[in-house]
Amino acid sequence: MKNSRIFKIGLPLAVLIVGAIGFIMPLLIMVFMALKTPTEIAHSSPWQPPKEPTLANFGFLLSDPTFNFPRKAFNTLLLCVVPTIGITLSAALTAYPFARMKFRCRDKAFILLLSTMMLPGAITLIPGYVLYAKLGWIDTFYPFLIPAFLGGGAFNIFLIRQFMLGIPAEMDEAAILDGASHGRIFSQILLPNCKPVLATIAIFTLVGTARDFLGPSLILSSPDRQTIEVGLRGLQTAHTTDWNYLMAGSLLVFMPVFLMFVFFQKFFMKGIALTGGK
Amino acid sequence: MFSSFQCRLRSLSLLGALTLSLIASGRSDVITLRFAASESLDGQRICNRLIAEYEASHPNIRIERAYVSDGGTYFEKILLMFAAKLQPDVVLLTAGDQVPLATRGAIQDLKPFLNNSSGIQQSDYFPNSIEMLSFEHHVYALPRSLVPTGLIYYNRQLFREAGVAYPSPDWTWSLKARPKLKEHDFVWVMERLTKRNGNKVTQYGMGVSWPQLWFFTLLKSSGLSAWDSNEHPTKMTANDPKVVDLMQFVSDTVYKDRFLPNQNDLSGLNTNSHDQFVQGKLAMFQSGSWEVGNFAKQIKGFDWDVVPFPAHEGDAPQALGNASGLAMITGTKHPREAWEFMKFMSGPRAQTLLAQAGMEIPSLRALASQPGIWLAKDPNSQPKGIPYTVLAASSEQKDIVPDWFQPITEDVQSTAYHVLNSERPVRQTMEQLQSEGTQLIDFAQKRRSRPPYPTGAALAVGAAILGALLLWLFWPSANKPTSRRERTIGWKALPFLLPWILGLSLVLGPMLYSLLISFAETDLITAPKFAGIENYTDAFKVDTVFPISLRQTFIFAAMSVPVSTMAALAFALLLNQTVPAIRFFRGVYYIPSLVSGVAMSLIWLRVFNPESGLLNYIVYGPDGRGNFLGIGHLLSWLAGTPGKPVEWLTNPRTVLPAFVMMGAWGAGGGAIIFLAGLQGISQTYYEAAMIDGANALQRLKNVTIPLLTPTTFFVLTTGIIGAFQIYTESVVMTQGGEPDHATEFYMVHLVAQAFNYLKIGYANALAWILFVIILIVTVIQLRMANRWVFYEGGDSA
Repeated sequence: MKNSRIFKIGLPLAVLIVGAIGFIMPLLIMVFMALKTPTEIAHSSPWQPPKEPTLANFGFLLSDPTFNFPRKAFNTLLLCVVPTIGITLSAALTAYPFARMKFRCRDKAFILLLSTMMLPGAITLIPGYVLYAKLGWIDTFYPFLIPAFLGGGAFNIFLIRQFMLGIPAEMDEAAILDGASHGRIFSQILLPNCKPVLATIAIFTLVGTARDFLGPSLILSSPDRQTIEVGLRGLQTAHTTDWNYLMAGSLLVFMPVFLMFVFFQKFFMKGIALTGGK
Repeated sequence: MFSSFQCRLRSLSLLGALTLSLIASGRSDVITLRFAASESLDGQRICNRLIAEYEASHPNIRIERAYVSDGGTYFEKILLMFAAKLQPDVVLLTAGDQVPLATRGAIQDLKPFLNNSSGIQQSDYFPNSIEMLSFEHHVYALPRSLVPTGLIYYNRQLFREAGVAYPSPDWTWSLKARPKLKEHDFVWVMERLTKRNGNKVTQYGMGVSWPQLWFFTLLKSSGLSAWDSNEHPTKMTANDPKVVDLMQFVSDTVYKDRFLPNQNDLSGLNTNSHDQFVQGKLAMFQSGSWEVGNFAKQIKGFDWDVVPFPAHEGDAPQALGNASGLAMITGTKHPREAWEFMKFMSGPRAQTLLAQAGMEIPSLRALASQPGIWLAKDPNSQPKGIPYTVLAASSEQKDIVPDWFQPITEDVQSTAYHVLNSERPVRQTMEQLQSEGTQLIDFAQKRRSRPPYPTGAALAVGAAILGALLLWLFWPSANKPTSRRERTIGWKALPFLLPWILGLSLVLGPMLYSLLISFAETDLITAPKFAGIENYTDAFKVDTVFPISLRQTFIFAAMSVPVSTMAALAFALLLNQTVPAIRFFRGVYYIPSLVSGVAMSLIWLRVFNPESGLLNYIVYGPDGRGNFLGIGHLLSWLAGTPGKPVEWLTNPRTVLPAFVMMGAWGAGGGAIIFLAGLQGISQTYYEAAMIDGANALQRLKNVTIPLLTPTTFFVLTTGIIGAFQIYTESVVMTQGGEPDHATEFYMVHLVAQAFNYLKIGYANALAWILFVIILIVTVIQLRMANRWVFYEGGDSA
């Protein structure tokens, strides 16, 4: 009995640890380089821990007036949090009829929805930019904030729809018999059951917006409206890279997202022992 | 509370006074100039300082800045600004950028300004800085800097140890060895400074900053070229015996004499030539002026100096260089003010600040020769050779070619990359370049005269397409008659769908525009012309890379989608276990999606390195001759290089499997999606299965896998769409297409057409061809889904 317990926890744990080593490597390199001076980076292998760790790289980024970290951090936070809320909510709202209602053009509309993912973004950004210019949205935050509340993107709608289709229909059929409206079924039955997938979309959106370089650098111009990711590119030129600052800055973006993902899981994810409970 | 109010009141009155004084002095009309520049953080700091000074001395002028640090994105942004008619007044350009802009009339010839301006003359600048920013005898930018790349940094200590005198600026090189000249012969110096231990090179005599620099510098230095004329090229000269001999020399220096390391061995940080030089392991290193500032910071423990690249025997010194300068956009409302601002931003004050920061060599002759101007921060760390480098900078050139010729120069670059990265028969490679280049020239020179784009008719067609789309949407399905109930519920769906329908206009509009423009010849700057269906026929008939890119993308998708999906599912099952610290593990498995692309590429370059990489270390052992579980020989045989360790990223046969491995490593994102799906499976099914006595494998097969099919369907569908659009990995890892176009994926080809060659209409046609392919694949998937996807909560789509 005891042996099987060790087997059930020990084996997956061992596999997890072996795998984790491969995934921690990039993080390790980032941490090491963020704590080294440029001289040490040039003289040591990236895998070597710093001999004399320094926090000066973080100090420089946080205090440099041209980099203007507080301003960039505020912009980044705004451009992460608001779209994350908007996209998660509006994608769930849009997914609901595709999963739970019958209407004439539903299946065709669904193909139309999917097709919006199929034209490369590199191409649609040209007319997109012109459109935003016509709306007077260039060099403002609107292109990042407003569309987030209008549908939430085909990828996310599709994902939530799939998840909703996996939720047994008996629940809402009972509610319909009780005379519940679609609004109530959506908000009180499906939405609470969709927590894991909504959290997944929230984390994807958060990471995507925090790491976005192309959007902000094309649409925003004023130095006061830049995000951290765009600022960090300024540490790389065609020929030289300030690895120490770049890695320190990447960690400043990475750490909050990573910690949030680790700690907030307990609200939406439970583990299931596939090898069996009691 | 009161004081803050008072404070506000005071600032209000101050503002009022200021406004009044402005009106009184008649300067209420403040002119705003829009300035765009591609600048690093250090460059932005200097620009900000200069702009503050300029605004202080010109109170009627306000400067609006736009910085984009990444050069490619910067150019893209300028083009988009033109498309939206938001173009700035003044832009910073790198040599070469003036051609696409000037030939389309986007920037102005500055000669009239130079001729009528006080305080500045063309002769104040190094002539080559003006030439590099000109085209067809017009000057398009006011030079701000010279950036020489023909500099050789050398480790003085290693020279002393080898008993070789330090190189002098009058040294020369030749294809044949000239041992009598000793240290005056570059080849002799490379030979003497390369140390060998048996068959193994322990110290290389020479290294270059990036592979192609070596070939192009030697080519320029010997006065040769791979095509006949820069401004008006008509034919290729890549198979010219002299050019072939030179390429053979380049190949020999790496593979026969081994003076230079194979770049393939030295990808990645701390193994590249720059870091080898800093660590004192490389005798000479060719790079640009920017290294002076880096080396002053990084090099400890040996003394070093810099010397210009040797001249070719009997020729004047000539090497490759670059320049940057300020250009004026055509149609600016304030040309006079823009000109004054440009003069300041590229003037003596600006050039002094940039030179003192160790960033750029002044293009103003008087300033460049001023002793101590360069790197004034620390005059003691200045290498003695600096004055020579200024001299060298004034002789350096860049090939300024028309932009239709760009694909051909890129083909030459690519050939040089191949010859330097893996041993190839040189003559054959150059003959291939000759014929490919000739084909490209023939294609490009077929300039077709086209009628203007019929905008009105196009709009009508657009409206018709929208109408047809609506008709299709609401056309009743033949086999599914709509009941009354379904129609009523249809109306109830509207409130849920309204935001999406509103947002759809922001998506469908651009899609429609893209479709209409795919029948045009357009570059975002000049008025579009009507091309009919030629963009589509060109893809299949003329574009030789199109079928290759399509094939490579299909192969990649076919390999990568199953592997990544399986990996994601396996990770998810593992991450769904109840073991200690599982939340932390989930975070860790997601790291590859969280870290920056450069951190990722650093890791992978080290994994795939053929000689010192982790993968070959496992397969072939530390000596490179092992044969782990027999895989080693099998892999070498499959890679087409029996007996040699696999060169993962430079062998066209293995580069796609390498990309698939990288994709699997990044499957944490897919795993999170599967994990959410697993969370949705009710525990009661497992309990029921257990009562029936099902074991773990049976539960996986009969409960988990079937109930997970909606998620699997999602991961597969979006995975295929994503795989068809693979782009970043190729740009980061294999220079956007190497080796032999093997990673020139569909999107890589498409983006190059759009933003490198400004064939926007053609790129849009390519996008729609891709759209149709993906749509067909997806619709087939949707049809097949009925057979294998199991939905608990209703009917399927």
